[in-house]
Amino acid sequence: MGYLKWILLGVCVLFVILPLFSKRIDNTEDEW
Amino acid sequence: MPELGHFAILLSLFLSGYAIVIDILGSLRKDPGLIKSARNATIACLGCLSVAMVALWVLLVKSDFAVVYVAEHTSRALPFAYKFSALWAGSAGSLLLWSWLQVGFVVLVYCKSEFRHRRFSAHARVFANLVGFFFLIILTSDRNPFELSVVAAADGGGLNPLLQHPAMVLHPPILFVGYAGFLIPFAWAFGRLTTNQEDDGTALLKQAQRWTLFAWLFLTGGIVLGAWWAYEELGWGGYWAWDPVENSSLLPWLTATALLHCFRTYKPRFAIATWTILLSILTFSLCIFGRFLTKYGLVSSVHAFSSPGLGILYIVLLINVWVIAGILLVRRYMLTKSSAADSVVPNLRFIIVNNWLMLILAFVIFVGTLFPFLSKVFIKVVRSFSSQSVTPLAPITLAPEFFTKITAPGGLILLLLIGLCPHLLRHGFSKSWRIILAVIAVALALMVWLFTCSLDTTRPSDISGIIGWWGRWLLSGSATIPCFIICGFMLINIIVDFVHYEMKATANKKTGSTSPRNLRWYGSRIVHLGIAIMFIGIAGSGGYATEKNAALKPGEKTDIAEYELTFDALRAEHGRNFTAVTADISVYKGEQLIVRLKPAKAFYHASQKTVSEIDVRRTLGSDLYLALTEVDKGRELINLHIMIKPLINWIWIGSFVMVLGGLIVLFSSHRRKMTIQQNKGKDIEWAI
Repeated sequence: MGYLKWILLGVCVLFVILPLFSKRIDNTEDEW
Repeated sequence: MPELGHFAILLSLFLSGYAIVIDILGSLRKDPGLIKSARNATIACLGCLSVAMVALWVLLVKSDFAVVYVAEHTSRALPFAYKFSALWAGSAGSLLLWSWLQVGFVVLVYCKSEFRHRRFSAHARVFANLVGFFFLIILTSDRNPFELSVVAAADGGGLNPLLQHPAMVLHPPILFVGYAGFLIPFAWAFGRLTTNQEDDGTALLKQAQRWTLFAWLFLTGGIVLGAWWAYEELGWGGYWAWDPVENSSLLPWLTATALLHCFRTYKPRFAIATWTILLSILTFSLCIFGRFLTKYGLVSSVHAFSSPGLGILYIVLLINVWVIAGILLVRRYMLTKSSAADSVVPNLRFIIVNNWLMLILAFVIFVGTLFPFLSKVFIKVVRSFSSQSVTPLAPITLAPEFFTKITAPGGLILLLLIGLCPHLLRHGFSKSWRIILAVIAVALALMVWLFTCSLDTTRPSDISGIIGWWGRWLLSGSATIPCFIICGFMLINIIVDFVHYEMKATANKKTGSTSPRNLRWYGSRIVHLGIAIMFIGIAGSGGYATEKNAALKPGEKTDIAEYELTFDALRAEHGRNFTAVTADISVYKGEQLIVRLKPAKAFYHASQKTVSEIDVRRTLGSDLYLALTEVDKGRELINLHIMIKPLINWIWIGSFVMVLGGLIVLFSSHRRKMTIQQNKGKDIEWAI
């Protein structure tokens, strides 16, 4: 069962950090 | 599995902290990447908490007694449903459930992928995650549900027998859905304060409003279910004892009820907007305070857990929340000083009166609940100033009667206000004062007349003597008669309002204009109808209950009211995890046998506890309630507590009607475009 927690950690880290490398530009002033 | 569960909670704590910091950074730098990362962290936090929940459920169902929580709250012989519900039977499990619900609701509302309102959502998420972060600190460091015992027990201590009741399987999660649901208007209020968008975001306002109603419905359901459980399981024949934990669920209910009315009549830049923001924060703060009261043991309660632990963190959280809210509210006041921020919509003045009444009631109950603690502090302060030795004084705990008496006047005025609601909506306070005065005068005259008649006992044969006897009987219940009069007034007014509404709808249809039939309108009136029915039950069961104790041997009889009870025999029963002694009681009305009741006393093996299992004959008019208090098997002697509770079922029926009305409002698919902004004056009634 020990490997399950590393899978959980890996999935969470990927899910959280991937948007930081997103190239999409949608930072228009209107939306803020 | 315990390792995975604990790891998942630790990871969720980290993700929650990460989401707060990155949301703040993202908002300051206006960086969509950061905002999306924080949003994903919140979703991942929910995923981790879900893993922890599933892990704990697996451990409970598998009866893994190496885990302290499982050993403390379950046993091998415990039925599956109670093993499943043991997740919320203890402090750690219930905190895990609450945290999971909170994060789940935040994900549902403030983690949507749409870019519209993302700044608002980010701000709201910061405050929601801040609350979650505090909860998770307590969960990881103080109430770890996955803590392992040094030596695994062969069998667990079992679930408290009093909690082995269908209502107790549902009561805690329903209540927690209510508490956690109030996080949405709480986060909305902070989003509104920090973004300072007054006219913007109507969709967000409607969303917060819907979630307030959703949480209110669950809180109402949870409170009623708890009251029903107390009536069915505790064997004392009551349903509400003004216990600190019961009060702590009533406090947010009162403020949430006021909040619902504020949302219904919300107008940006008016006083009602400030009220809505304040009540949103206050309601959820009271939920947190209730949690603190239950777990920290500030005042003694039958529900409270003994270990205080890190409960003080709840107070740290509340202080933080109110300091930030205070600063933001002052800032908002400075910004809107020039506008009409303190003005009130003329027709809606009574909403403000309603708010004040709710707040005063909540404050009185709050002070009364904390009175043992406050009196302890007061005694300590007096002692520190006194040079002479003072005799030791115990903290003062207020009796349930105190709460009933102190809340009765405010409660009656509120009921009157509900009764007058249709007039007030049409004409406002200024034009309805004649009706208000007339109702108060008639009610007072009726009471004075009854009282005067009751004094005249010299001529019992004539009409005044007969009325006097009735008067004395009626007045024996203190606030009961005013409550009946006002509830009657409410019922008449609601029915008249229904007729008025239908007539107007038909007239509009004839003239070809759009039909004003609105499911939401019906729903809100049905809620008020439910309140009237419920208070008839509260007044009846409180004012006219009769009870007696009887020691009986087989074949012996006793009577109460119109019933005659015969004790037939004692029987032994064996369940999966208990052994019970049941008394067969035949109930006669005149010569006719109407029912056989079977009150029992059950002994639960795992917890080594004995509880009384009551039996009831239910009718719409009254309940015949039997509880077996003592059994002497050797002498075949039983002690029976017998009660007649008039109209008590009206409480459950009224509550059901209230929840039904709320559901109609919540799920109403009818989308009336007539918003508060468009309504000025007369047509306001359709929107409420």
